[in-house]
Amino acid sequence: MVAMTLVFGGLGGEKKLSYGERLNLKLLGPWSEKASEGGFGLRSLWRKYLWLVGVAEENERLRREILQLQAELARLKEKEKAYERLARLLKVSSFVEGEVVEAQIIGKPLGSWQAMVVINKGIKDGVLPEMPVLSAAPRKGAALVGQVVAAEDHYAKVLLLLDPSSAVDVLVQRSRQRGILRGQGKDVCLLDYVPAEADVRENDLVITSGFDGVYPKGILVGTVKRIYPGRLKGLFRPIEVEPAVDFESLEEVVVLQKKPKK
Amino acid sequence: MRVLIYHLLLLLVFLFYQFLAAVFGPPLFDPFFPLLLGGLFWRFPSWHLFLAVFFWGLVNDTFSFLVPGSSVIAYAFGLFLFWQLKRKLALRGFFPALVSLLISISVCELLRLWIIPVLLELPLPVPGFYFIGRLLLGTLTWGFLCWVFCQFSLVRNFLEISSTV
Repeated sequence: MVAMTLVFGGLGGEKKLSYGERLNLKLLGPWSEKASEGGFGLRSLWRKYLWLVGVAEENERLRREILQLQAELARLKEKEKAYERLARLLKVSSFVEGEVVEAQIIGKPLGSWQAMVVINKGIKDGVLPEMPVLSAAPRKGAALVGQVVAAEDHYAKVLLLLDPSSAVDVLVQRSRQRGILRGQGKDVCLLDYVPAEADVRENDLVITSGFDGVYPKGILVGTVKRIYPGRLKGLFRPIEVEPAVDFESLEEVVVLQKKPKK
Repeated sequence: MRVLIYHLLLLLVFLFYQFLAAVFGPPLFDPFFPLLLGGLFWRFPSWHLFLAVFFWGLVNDTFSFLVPGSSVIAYAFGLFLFWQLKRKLALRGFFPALVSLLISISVCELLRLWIIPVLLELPLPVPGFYFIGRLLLGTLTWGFLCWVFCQFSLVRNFLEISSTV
């Protein structure tokens, strides 16, 4: 009875974690955090101090890139102002506020195919289940990582986009075509329920639609990588989407705190 | 003392696994189950062994699965199966015991990674046989390494394990 209570008890509560899992996170969370910090530190040391081949060329390339980005930034600022005016006119308001909690990944799955990580922020830091998790994407700003699925006082479990249990309601930004992005356990996701005749092209950006009530609208998810020809799945055409976030090198994330619409 | 060493070893393996996961990504094997089987050779009382299986199975579930319980159940079943093979079928000596180890690990890992998730209606990765197969292969390799380590006379003498086991 005690064993069953520890394994399955407490799942229905706000934390969505069993009593045993809460105990484990309290006991092993700090240990795992130290081990992960050590690992990330070693990787950083290797990249920043030992593996310096081509740094001069990269510096030159980055300087050129900064100039290009500054020009791009000026153009986007103009667009942003125009958007703000239009948004005010149309009374389009976001249903979430932009408060975020920064967290570090302190644990990865132990011999499992599930794409899940443990972060070092929990309920006491304002992290609750079903909150979206974002991270920086190279050259693309913030992009979606997944969602919090369970939380303890100081730790939380995050389900990544790549997990087969993950499903996100998304839009193809250019054509506004809607679909469901599902994880497959590998480094690309499947954009499903997109009609075979839909206007989707390779390299189209995919963003959250906001219809699923979990993720706010407009968060970058990834880019269309491959479109399967024909109707492989009845009425629909499966499309492979490459997430904007590099999950292999993911170390820190940001949890977007959802607040009810005022 | 042996109990302490046993759990410290499991804790060290957990920490080293998370360290490697942070540097290279999660290694493709289950770190706990082969070591938990090794506990049979450390001559612990069976209740103690099942307590260890319960705790470390739950640790695995905490860090790895959406629904808790699959590792705990699979570990307990795997240990029970290994116990039966060893005692009822008297699979002793190096080679028969190695075969029973491989069978127990295969059954436990398939239960943990495939059968229980299917029963709980969790979607499997695509292609499932590839992801589950490589984890199984990794765990079998890790199990073999643990087995070889346990056979060293130094370890056996240090732990005062009888040579007939």
